[in-house]
Amino acid sequence: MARRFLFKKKGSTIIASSAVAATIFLSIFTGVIFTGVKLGVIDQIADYQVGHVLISNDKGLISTQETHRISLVTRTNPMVVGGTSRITTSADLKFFGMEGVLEQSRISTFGVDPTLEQKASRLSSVVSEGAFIQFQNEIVIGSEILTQAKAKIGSIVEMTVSGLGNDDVTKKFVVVGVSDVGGFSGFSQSAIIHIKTLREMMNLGTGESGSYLVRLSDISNAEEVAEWLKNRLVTSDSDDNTELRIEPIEVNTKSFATTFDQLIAFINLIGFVGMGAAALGIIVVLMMMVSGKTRDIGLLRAIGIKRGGIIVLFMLNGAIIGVIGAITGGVVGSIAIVYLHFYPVAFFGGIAPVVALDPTKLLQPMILGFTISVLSSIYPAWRASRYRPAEAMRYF
Amino acid sequence: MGRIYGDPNSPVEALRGVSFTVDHGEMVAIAGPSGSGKSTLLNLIGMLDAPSSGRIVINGIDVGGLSEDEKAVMRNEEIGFIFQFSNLIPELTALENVMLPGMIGKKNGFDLRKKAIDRLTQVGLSSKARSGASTLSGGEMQRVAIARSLINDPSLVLADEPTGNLDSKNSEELINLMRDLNKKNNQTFAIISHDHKIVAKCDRVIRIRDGMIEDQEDDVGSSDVTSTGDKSLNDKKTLEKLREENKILRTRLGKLEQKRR
Repeated sequence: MARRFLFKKKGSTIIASSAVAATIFLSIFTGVIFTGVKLGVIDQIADYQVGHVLISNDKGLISTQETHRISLVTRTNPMVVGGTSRITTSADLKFFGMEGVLEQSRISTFGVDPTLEQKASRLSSVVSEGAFIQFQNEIVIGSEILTQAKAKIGSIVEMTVSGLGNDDVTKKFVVVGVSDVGGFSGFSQSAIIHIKTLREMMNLGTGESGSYLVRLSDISNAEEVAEWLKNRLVTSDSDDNTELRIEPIEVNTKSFATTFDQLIAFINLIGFVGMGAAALGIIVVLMMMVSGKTRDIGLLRAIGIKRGGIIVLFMLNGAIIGVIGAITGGVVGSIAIVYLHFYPVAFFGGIAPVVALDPTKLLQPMILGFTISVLSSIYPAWRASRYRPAEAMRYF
Repeated sequence: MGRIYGDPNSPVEALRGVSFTVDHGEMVAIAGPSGSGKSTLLNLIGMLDAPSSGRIVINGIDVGGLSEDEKAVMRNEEIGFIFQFSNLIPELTALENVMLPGMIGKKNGFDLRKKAIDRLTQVGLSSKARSGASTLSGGEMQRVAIARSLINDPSLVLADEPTGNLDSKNSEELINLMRDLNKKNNQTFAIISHDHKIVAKCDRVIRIRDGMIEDQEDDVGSSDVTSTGDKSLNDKKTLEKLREENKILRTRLGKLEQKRR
């Protein structure tokens, strides 16, 4: 009966509920999407650049013995699915084409083990054209470099790297693949060659590496495994620059995550402003409803309803608006999230957000929206309760 | 009691020193020209407004000492209201409108429904119980309003121009209905009206002019006023005749509380 009394004019209720629903939906959507993009970027950084656990040292060079030890120890952990050594350096490239020799200097170059990388990373998937390296004379070059050099798959490129004794070592490679954006920081401007070749060019030992990437079956175990590895691999607390540094993905992406969290906080702030606007809308709608019901309020007061009863009646109105808005916004938001979970859509330069089906991410905005609806109805309800019956009933 | 509106610099005295007593089961008409203070008086009796001075005692309770919530409870349990424009809630059915005061009083749902149907039967509208209030005619709406005013068995029913919005046929029916209910239920009725037919049916008429009680007449219904067909209740000759027959008690125009014989 109260529902019919309050909701005869459905238009204003629909408008108020829609405002709440839209705000809840946007809050859910932006919250999940931006959190998902953050997780997606972290996943890509892990997949392409630093693994789930990164082992390195301040010197930037892990000895052959240490590399073997790391390899042996990591294999004993059941959560580890793969590990690989990498060397990163900068190199100068020379392309020989129809238009003569084109040079590209200080190109970020990765020396990788193509076999171990298959299990330890997804680096091979950065190749957008051609194939990943298999042999020591093959090179994958970033699409931007190739475009500028007007080179293509099959082109010959000459790479010059400085060795440990600062002697420049030059070697020719065949371009077998084109790499593109990956890991949020672009393999489109990098080169990838076999780690053995790079070791030879840099005059390094057969097992020496710049860093060691460990991949786990579940990224969420990174901290636990990093701690486990520290206990087994780090032997002293000395300041020796060869001391192994074992860092989970959380540490390696900390600055990125912090920046992104600030962005999410800013977006949430916009969401709160939206909630505020919805609250204002509810207040306006309810005030109009109170105004339109002045005479009926007067009558109800005359026949004995208490002030508290009028407050409850109009707060019930706000609660119903909140429930309708929360359910509508929640359902639409759920549909969007479920869709994106099963059919990821790439945002922000090809990064598909990692959308988790987490009910709390839905419930929080729904509860917040409902609460705001109820709170927004307090003032109109209070105003309605203050009408003097005799005056209210004179109102037409 | 008195009622002053407006700010202290330019007060408007709607009622001045009005004082009277209505006995249980009595049907009293409050008559007077527009702006005389009739509706103000009814609002004060019904606790819809508070007097600026004086006191109102209903069933031995000085209502001035009651809180807003206590007044609401008393309005719900002890007073039934009938308004000129019926003031039904258009979104509800006739039955729901009748049940409303009972629901506010948290009466048992089943019993309340049964009682509401009884009340609608009393006013001849049982067949319209499930009709939307907005679909009823003016006369039907007023009947529903009467049924609503009686649902909690109030000791006092206050009616403000109940026939003011009705044609003569409906007015006549409504007056007879109220009189019958008054006699049958032994409930007190205070009715504001310009309608001489209503006034004629009442046990007593209290005349108000310029916020003061001008006069009071007893047993108007049995007086010559109606039998002679004289429609002017202000008729001086009629009043004099009634006074001669000692049917009207002279008062100090509201300064004294009148005792009925």
